[in-house]
Amino acid sequence: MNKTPAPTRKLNPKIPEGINSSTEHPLKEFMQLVIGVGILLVVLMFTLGLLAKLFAHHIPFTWEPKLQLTDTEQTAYPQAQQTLEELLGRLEQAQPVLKDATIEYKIHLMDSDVPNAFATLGGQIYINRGLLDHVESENGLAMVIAHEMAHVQLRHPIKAFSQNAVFQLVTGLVFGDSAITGIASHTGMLTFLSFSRDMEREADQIGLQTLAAAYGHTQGATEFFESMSDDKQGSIEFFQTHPDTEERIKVLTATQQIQQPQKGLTPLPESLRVLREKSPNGKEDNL
Amino acid sequence: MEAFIQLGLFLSLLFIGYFFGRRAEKQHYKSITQREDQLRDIYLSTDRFPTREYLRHDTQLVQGSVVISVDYFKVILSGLKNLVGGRLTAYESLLDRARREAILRMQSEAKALNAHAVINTKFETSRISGSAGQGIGSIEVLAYGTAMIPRA
Repeated sequence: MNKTPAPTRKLNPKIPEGINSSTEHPLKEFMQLVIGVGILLVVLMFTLGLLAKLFAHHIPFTWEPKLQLTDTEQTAYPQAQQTLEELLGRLEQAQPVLKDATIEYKIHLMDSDVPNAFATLGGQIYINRGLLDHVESENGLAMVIAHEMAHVQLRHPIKAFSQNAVFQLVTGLVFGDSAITGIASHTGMLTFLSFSRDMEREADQIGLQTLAAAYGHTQGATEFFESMSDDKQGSIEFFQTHPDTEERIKVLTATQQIQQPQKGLTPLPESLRVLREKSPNGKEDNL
Repeated sequence: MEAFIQLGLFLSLLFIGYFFGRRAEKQHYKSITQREDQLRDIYLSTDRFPTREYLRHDTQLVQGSVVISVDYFKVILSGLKNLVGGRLTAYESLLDRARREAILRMQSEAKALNAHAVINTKFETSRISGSAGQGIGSIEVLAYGTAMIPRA
């Protein structure tokens, strides 16, 4: 038709904007999602955590060693280790409410200067060598051990583990990490299982009862806590995991029934005494 | 402490992703509309065969290809959106830009050949990221067609 096609070249139409892409501000969508998903996540974690806490004590104690991923090494102080085991045995006899007969305790003396003690899965109780510097008598040490035993008896490690596992699982699912590796890497560090303040209080009560039953009095129960709160500089790690030591001393002192105050403290056994570094003879150096 | 460092790192990555991603997108759209105006005379069609006015033209393959990458902000935004479902508007705008840019590059090639039109226009998309299982990394959009070049 046209001899000269050039002047009638067809032109592309202008495409209307906003059909294939949204003109809405991305931050608006982002905030909506963050708030919505955040609320959902908190609710999910809370309910699952609560369920884990409620049902954790139904997990048989005999399963706990299988969950324990860390291997315990041989102690450097066989004599002191034996003394601790004897002390543990005596406390086990004295322990008030033994609900679960399958519970077995294993005590380990760790060659660490950090004054701390902790209980983990499988009834494993760890006492650091540094803790011995902060107790004056066998009673003080027995209180620490009885406290950790109470944690085990009350199934606190498995409760903390279950809650931690649930937390890892939910975050893993939401943020796309491999949930399994998350659980393995985080809850594998069982030393960092932290107990709630209620758990600590409960364990203090049972520990105190154990101490009273074993020695006939509860003198020396606050030795470790008192020494620790006097020496805050050297024990940051302890106060990170045990924030309300002052309060616990008060509660312990208040609930102590000092029936036979004259009965006196049992001295620390010789095999443990030799491991004390700074103050082999008494309290003075710590104060 | 460690958790705070990780959170800070996450938030700064998010901010960087948002700030630069948003700026790049604005500038890109500006440039796209500008060049679309300039190249309006390279007529585009999806017809497989030339219409009458192009019957006496030479033909040649022209193509334009773009590789785009997602920014961190869009990754997080779409990650959240994945939980609840719905339009992934963050990626929609990205792919819209990529398609239009690919067309523009194809048109530029056609213009360099003095073509009047491109017929049989088609798109291809392929994922070229090596990040297996880590969501969308980079995507290539290819537009190609047959340029209609008038005989001298």
